[in-house]
Amino acid sequence: METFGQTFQSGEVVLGDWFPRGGDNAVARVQCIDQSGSSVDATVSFLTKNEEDIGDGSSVLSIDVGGGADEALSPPGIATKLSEGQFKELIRVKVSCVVGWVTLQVFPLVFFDSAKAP
Amino acid sequence: MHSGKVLMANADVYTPWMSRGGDNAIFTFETIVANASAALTVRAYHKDPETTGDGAEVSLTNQGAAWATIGSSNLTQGTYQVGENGFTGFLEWVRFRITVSNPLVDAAEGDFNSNEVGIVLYRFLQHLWFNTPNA
Repeated sequence: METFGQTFQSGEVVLGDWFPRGGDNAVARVQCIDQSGSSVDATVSFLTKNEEDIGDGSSVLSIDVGGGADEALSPPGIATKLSEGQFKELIRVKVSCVVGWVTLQVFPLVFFDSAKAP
Repeated sequence: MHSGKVLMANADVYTPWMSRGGDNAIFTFETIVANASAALTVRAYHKDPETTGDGAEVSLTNQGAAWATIGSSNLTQGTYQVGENGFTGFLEWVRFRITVSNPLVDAAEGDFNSNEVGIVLYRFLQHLWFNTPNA
């Protein structure tokens, strides 16, 4: 999915292409470039599944852009979330816009494996 | 080979210069292992290639970022974004200065006490460079 400066309108639910996991853990970051106002309600989710699975995959990480409980981004705010051990072999991005419109930039995931033994 | 590098107090060291990948950046620093005595400070420096010397710290008068913990992890991130806190963008070369501070000498006994020496194993994750998207 091309996510640089892409605008999502109310009612749109868009799925990106699958890409392979680059490590067990990842830092996800989303930037709100512009939005329709404080009432905007949109969510960026990261879906995952294994190669042998069919279907859309399941969400393991989500970032709310306005209207959500945990993030209230306003331009040019950047939200960061960490996923530890949740991603399967394939990952893709899902953007759901419920109210208003929002222009987003979803940064590439920064993957890493644990360096410290448990 | 281990991931990360070890620093002991009172290390105050620069990393090598790297080329800027964009005007803005988010750097992710992981403290893999550290003892209780290790007090870490990570700062960014920058300069242009034609300039000699150690470069200028990004985070003093030109406050670029306050490093923040990501969730409850051992990761911290520094976000340097044009327009925030007076940050005007990175010069061509960027590097970090990492300081591990704690008393090497036991103040009470006046001698070296290995139990008090701050030690840290750290690494940087992949740097995230980006340019300002909104006009």
